[in-house]
Amino acid sequence: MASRPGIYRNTARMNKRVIPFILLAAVLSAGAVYFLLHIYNIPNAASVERASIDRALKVLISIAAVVFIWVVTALAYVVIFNRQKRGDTGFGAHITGNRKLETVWTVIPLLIVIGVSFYGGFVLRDITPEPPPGVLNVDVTAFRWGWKFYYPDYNVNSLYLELEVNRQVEFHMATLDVVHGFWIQEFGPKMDIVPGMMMHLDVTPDKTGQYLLVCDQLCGAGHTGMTAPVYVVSSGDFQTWVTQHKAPPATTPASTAFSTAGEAAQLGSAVYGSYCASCHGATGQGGAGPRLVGAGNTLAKYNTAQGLQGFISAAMPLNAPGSLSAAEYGELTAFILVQNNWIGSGTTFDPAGLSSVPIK
Amino acid sequence: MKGFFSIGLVRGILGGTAGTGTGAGAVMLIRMAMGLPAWDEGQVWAAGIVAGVAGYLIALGLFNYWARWFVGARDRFEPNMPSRSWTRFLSVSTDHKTIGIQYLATALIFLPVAVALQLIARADLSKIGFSLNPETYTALISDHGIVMLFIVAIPAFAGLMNYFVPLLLGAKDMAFPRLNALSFWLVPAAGILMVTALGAGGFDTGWTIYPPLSVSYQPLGMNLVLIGAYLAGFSSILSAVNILTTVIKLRAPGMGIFRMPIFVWTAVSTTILSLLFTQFVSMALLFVLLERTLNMPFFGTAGGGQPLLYQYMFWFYSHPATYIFALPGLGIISEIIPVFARKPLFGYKAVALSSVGIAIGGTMVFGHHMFAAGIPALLRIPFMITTMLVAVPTGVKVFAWVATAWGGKLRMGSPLLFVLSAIVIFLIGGLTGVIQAVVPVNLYVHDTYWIVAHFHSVLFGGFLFPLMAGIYYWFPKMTGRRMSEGLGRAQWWLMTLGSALLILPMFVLGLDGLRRRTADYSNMDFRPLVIATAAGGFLIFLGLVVLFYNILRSRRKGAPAWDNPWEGRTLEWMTSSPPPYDNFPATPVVTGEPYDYGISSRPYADVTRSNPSKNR
Repeated sequence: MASRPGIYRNTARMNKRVIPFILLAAVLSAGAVYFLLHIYNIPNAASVERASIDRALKVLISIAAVVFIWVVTALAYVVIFNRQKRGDTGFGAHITGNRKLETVWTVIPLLIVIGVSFYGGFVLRDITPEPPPGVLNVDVTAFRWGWKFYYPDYNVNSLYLELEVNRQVEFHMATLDVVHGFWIQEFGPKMDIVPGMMMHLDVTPDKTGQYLLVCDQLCGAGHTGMTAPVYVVSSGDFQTWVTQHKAPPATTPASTAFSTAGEAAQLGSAVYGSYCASCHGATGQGGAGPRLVGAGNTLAKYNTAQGLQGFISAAMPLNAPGSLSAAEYGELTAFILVQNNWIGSGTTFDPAGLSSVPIK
Repeated sequence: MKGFFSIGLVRGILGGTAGTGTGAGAVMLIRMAMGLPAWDEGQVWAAGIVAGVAGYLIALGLFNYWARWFVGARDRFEPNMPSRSWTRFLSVSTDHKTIGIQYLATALIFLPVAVALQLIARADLSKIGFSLNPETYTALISDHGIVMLFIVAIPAFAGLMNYFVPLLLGAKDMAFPRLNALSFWLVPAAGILMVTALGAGGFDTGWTIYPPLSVSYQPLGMNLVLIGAYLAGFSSILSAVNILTTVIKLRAPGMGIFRMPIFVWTAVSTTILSLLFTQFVSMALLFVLLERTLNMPFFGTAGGGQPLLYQYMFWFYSHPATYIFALPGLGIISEIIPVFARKPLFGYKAVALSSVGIAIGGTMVFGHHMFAAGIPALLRIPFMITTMLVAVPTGVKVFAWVATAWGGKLRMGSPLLFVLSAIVIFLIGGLTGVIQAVVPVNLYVHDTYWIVAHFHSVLFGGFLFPLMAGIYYWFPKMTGRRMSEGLGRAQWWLMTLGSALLILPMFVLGLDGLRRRTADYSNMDFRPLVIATAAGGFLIFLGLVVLFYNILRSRRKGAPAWDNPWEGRTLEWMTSSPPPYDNFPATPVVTGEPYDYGISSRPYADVTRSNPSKNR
């Protein structure tokens, strides 16, 4: 569909009018790019990752702004100068297309998006670093509607986040109920926390101060208020905080306060209530975690009570594995066995001799 | 009284009530037989509603023909040529033009309702003296979203496609007229369920309905929404089959695929997407309903389910869905620009094929909704690249529109005004889409107002403004009368300013860190921008009021439109306004190009010569 001769009659006049618009678009785009790259700042940046993201955002918005300004200027030109005069019933130039022009405006955007993809890939690598030795591990537990934190390296439990400036922190996140989202705006990236999965997020705070952790994935009526304070402090202050908040050393007097399985289960019931019920349900019927009691539980795969106890001791609770005492793990095992009638309440219970108790 | 019961909707409501009672009663009997207490809110209502919808459809008479055919009874003449009375829109009709208007009217009734729901929430967020509790706030915004998508966006374009695809093709009706009626009548039922959900406790999950939140923590309202969305999805699939078949089989003689108007091309792309992907979201929603009522553990970890599975299934549809909403809109823009610029569409083939390109590309990008949701890290970059590639065919369209207008002789009628706003707003949506597709940026803007601003600009530019343009453009064809140009301009000003005020502050709010779907905020710096957004929404609502006044007024008092008020070339302008029952005086024979403005010696088609051999 080639264009026909005679249609460029008005070309000279059009060109004279186009030049001011090209200048206008050029000035506007230059101004927009200058504003975005040198004047505009996204507020409250406080981490290495956030700095990379902000830079990427400004570069990308600049590219978009230039495209936007050129297209809109062209439209404005058309609307101002290409109107039909009153009484004119004629047609515009009979141009049905231009292969060259169409190729250009297909290939150039293609090149731009390929370039942007590469750029995005590099920035993504910048903001998802491997955890180096000495990374600060924090176990995060999200629930309707609040947060709990545990520092496994220091055995510290907390209801707020205390972080060390310029030290990379790796969050290991689990949820007790629905999908939540972990976001500290000042730090940049966010991550959903999906039931049944352990999610990880690495950031390096680079500015001391007080920030706010929020849940960014709608989780019900308390969603808006599901926040926790975040303090980024100097290295010294962090060490002081750790020593002040360290949980008392586990002085578990080998509590042989039971002799029968029923007595052990009685004690285990209390442990279960504080550490397990939130996921596995008040009576072990299941919730965010699998069912433990009654038909449909999946514990038979452990074969014996010993296998079950080994798993619980190593992997539970999900947000702080291994954080209970050996006695508590024993009592928990007794509780689950008794609830399922795998062991009689009156039988003598010996946490060390569980290999002889089968799980059906 | 007999006349009253001859109205389909009246019989439908009675049948629906009877069905609800039967379904609910049956479940209660079964429960008693099992030795359970008869009442279980979730189960009894779910069964009641499903049976109620069946009763409503049967009582409307949608299955009469098939039932008679099934038992071998003689086919009774169906009153296809209805009275000119407006009550014909309340009964089952198999005429694609009546169904088109039924769809459009349904969408336009629910549109201000859905806007109003959001305005209440916005007023609360602006802190102007009253406050909602968070459940109510979230229920309002969730219902706003789901009603807009399932009952406004899809049906509005289904209406325009129903009315104009057969006309643009030179066909007498859709390929499956009875199926067409069935797919329409599902929509009002779905819409009523979704709105009444607010009275049944609402639901505070957002329109995405993620489990486990939607499974374990929601009142009865959630069930109504799930059934409603399922029905809407079903309707969408049926209508897709119909439109696709119509385009393939019922084109006028001489209309090769590269002589089809662009609106038809976008209709094909849209319906292929609906046909391939709607079942994924329907299944996901059905699974949530089954898990809620019958404890089938699809998504709950307790029973071995996987909550992320829902998100995959949901976005597998819901990303292509954004193109389902937007593609017909882009088609309308491509229709209107050549007519009002008095100039051929620039690069017809590229524009036509770019619709298919967008549709194909759009099927491979759903993962970008889950960059922060725990999809395997290796998949992030591929999904980023596919997402970006969709920008290329979209760019082809935008550049072609500008080039079409360039050097034309623009007539600044209200359809063109809405189209110009649509292009600018859609451009904002498209460009920000590329920005947020970049994974590191996405991890920052995910779940903030930036995203809300982005998809509102895509939907305003790809759906709302093209819909308005389409209404102003085709109203003369549908009614025989022109709409008021002055009111059209007033509405254009209100809605354009409203959109700017609504969208732009939300981008800033998002970058500054305001989460979406929060009922409150503590940082008072956000408040002026939040108020601006609310004011924008209010202006848009006023624009809709003007639109309704214009429609009602012009239907009676508008200037006569005659056959071809805009001097267009496509087939719908070659018949009377409104078209007769069989659409054309004789089967049109296509002999030229649809957008060949400027060469009057080469008309697009001939509708006068009788063509018995090719008569369909």
